[in-house]
Amino acid sequence: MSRKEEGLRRSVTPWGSYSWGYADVGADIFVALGLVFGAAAGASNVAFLFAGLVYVCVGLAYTELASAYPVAGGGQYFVMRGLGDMLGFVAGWAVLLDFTIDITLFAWGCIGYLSHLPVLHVLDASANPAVHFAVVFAAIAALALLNVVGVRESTAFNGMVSALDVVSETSILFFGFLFAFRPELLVHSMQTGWPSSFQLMNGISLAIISFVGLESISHAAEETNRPASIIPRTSIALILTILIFALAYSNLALGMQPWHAIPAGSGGHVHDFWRFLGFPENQDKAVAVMASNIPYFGALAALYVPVLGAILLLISSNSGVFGSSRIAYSMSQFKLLPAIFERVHQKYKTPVISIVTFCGLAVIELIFAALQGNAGYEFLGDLYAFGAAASYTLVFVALIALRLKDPLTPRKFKIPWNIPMRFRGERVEFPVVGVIGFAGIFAILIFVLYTHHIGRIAGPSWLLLGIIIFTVYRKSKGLPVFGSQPRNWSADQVGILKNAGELELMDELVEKLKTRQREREGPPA
Amino acid sequence: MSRRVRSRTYARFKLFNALLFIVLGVFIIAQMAHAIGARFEAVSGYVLGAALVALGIFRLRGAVKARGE
Repeated sequence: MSRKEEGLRRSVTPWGSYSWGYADVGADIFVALGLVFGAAAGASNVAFLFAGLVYVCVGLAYTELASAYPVAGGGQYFVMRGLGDMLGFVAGWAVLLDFTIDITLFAWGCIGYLSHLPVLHVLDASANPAVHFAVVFAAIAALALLNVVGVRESTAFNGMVSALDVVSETSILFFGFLFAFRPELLVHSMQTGWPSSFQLMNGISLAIISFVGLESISHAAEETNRPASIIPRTSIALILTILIFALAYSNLALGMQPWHAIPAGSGGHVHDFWRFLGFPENQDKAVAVMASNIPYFGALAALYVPVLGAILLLISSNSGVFGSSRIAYSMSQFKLLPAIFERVHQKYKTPVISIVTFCGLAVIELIFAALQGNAGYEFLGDLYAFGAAASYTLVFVALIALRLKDPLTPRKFKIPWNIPMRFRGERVEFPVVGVIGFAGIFAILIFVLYTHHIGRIAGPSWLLLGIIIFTVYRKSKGLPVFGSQPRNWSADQVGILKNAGELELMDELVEKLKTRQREREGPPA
Repeated sequence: MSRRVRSRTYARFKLFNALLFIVLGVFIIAQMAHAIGARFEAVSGYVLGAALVALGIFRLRGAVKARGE
């Protein structure tokens, strides 16, 4: 029995599907908030707004694609199906970069949040970089080991942590706006702290990292029964929740009158609260710093937000380990990566080669980040932004291509605002939101390349390395490098819908395929 | 559907949750409109308020639909 057949049971409930996505994407704001304030200063809320609107388009695209094609490959599968093997590989390879960064960045953030607790201040990256490095390394090694022996985060545990976090973040938002928010201060902060265009672009490109992880929608789709009905419901709630938290935190921080004079112990210099949040030493624990400075509520929040944040970040880091092995597995099944990534451990039946390879890469990234000193966290954020922007850009192109090339696949959820037209003799609907989303995410990709000195070199180098590996592998197997392997996508789609329990949609597709066949053959003589 | 999801307590919780989001959204929009008005600095706040209201309505519709089933 293959690992896929063994492991992927369709047992995830709507809440399970929501919490799965939330544990992935919801953790991002814990990482992004401080980084964006460090870059975009008084325009951080505008940076989050721009990235958030693009993210809504990305989220809608993933919702449509994941409910129409409920397979775990996610962006890589959509792009391969819409644009061919080569670009499918590029999208998957960019996602793999993101997953490996995810492992390091979120493990780093997890330890950062824990260090906000007075008893664990020894773990602080600025105060004790060597200790911090050792503990992050140990966390990555432990996650790798757990994944090799096959211990997976349980959906129930994810659900509990997600529920606690939604309540916690809503409380921060509620008490923050009630006790500490001053709209006049927001205006003042935006006017006095408005950044240069370069900084704003940098901030926007970092803000997109608070919306990374939509691959989890596809992963959940593969394990959800009747995904075409469930996924749109849970995804839309997820998209709105994440957007709300990102906008709420950024507006709150800019207009927040903190409990105590800020900052304590900074050589007597008083700073605006939002500037304090963006300091390198606060970037890896910004949400905890903010929550603990809300009047009254802060006393309680200081005790539990660091712990809750750390748990959520650890789950997200683990999803990087799990997700990278799953994407690599999917890519090797489609002959985009060597078959070695499909190999499973004899005893534990887990993809040990993939896990060790990508956790190893995560450790290399950790070493490079640690060498940057105080800028290490930002270094990881740069790379994370590049991978996300690159893969999301291709997903939009795939969305448009699939609307044109595969109009027969039933789409129970369709992004609004479509232009009906004919393409190669078939009625299709051209997605206007797809074009808007593409323009937005492509702009962010340009911002990443323009403003991130390291991302500009390391990101494209990663893609180049991947293309070399892909070319060598495909040539060695006698497979086309620029072309695609012949596949019967229609038959595959029927199988996918059947496997998903979407039998009505399967019948609808079969009927449409028969009608098209009859039309092509013409009337009987 | 699990028993928990069908329970009256859960339905009430969802309803409370939906109304809380709507009230919060309206509060933020009103606060922004009162203090800042139609200025660029308030745009992000208005979008936040609108998103809260939208999520509240989305959850309210879900709760009503679940009750109907």
